[in-house]
Amino acid sequence: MNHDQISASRLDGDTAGQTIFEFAETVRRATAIEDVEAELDTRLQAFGVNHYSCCSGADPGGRIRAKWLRGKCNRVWYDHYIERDHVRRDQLLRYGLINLEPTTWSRFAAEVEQSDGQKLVFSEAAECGLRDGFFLPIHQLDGSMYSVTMMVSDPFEDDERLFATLHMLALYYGLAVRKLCFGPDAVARRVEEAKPVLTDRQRECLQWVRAGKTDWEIGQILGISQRTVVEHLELARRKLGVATRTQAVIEAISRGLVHL
Amino acid sequence: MHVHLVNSLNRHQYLDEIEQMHRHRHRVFVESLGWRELESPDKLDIDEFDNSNAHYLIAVDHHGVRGSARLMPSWRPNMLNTLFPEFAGGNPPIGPGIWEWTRHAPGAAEFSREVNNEVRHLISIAALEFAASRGIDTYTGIVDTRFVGRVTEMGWWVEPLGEPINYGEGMAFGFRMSVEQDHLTRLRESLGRRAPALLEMPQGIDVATSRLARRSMEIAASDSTLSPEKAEEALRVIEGALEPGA
Repeated sequence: MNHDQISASRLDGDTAGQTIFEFAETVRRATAIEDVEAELDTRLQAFGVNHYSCCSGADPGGRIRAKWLRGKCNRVWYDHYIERDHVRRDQLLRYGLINLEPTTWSRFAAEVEQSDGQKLVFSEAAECGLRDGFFLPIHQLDGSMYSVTMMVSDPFEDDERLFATLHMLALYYGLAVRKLCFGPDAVARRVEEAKPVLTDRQRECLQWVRAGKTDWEIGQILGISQRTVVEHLELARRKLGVATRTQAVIEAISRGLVHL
Repeated sequence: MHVHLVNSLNRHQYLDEIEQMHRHRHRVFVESLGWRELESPDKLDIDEFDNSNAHYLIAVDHHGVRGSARLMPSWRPNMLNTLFPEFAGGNPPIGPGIWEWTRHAPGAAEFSREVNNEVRHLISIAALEFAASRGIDTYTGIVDTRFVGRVTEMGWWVEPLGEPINYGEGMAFGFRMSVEQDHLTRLRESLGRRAPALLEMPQGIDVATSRLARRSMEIAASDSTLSPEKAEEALRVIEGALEPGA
């Protein structure tokens, strides 16, 4: 759809055009990907799309690097895909590397000779309740590729208008992910946010662990239950990205979050 | 054995080794040397300079951490300029190319003589390799008079910056050591090792992939020469394993 058509359909009160125009505006103004996804969720519900994903497909070298980035995933399918290492069988991924046009799973299955592996991937997706998908590859100037997929539980009707809308939603969602999650601003923001902020209680608990106190003793000192102490330490450990509470103490001290 | 350079950029790949290092330091300084001041109930030696500016040389072999040292830029808060300037006659050296070397713990009483000899050599070799990579020409620190001999045995010339002061567990003074061109060669010959000691992992590598990278670096940086054919073969295997569809 070109600009004239979009504004024309907007004037006409055409739903598809309006959807596209409004969503694009949201993407343009958004400062957080969550806001974009909140609107996308609602828009997609109207088309029976309950799950969508944005994945990286290839790195700047063109090497396949399938990684789920964002979206509203069907957890069962996602875990299954990873566990069965379906990326090895995924012909659609390879299609995306050399094509610029979107397609759907049903169209792809009809137009391209399916390997046994690909048939397996599609049939297992169907078992997870995903019987069709709208797939849009997005190619970057540096040669990398990522994709947006919108999944439904019943096969799509062959509706060019529908596909045009999904195409635009997928395209703008892809832009939003790139801008808000991987742009230079996003990276800077992520670095800032990555500095774990420990709550006062978490810091206090770590401080007492360092002093050699047991969880029970710490609870006594701080006037909270032993169970709560364990929870504080567990959260601190997770925020610091370490495996044990000793490492949590060391990391917290190293980053100046806890003082000696 | 290799010496890993660990700092705030790559420490997430070394959480285990860092913990071992703090425990090892506690064993060495508190239990072996009897420095009660550093005693901690959690048996970890950590002080205010174990912060994001610290760079560690951590000697590791298949048994784990065998020794470590801490290097700190002279222009950041450190022991001499913050806590003990009097050990340097009130005038601790500060400037580009000058780093402070502290918490030196090469080996342990319970390790064999061979291991301890290797760690001692490797930490000094690593410190010289690090110096070359960062443009360091001077290392400073505080040394107990009893240990000066050991330092010079490693080929360093210890230049005093102040008179010895009683620090409670003995006498110590501030010192500087210059990084000399041929020191590295002499140490390598003395240990009988040509391969580099220091390995520096890049920042931001996730922990799972880091193991692959570390192992490759260790293999590449060892004296047992890997033939070009073997290296090619190993690389092919790795590439093959990484190909989807493998």
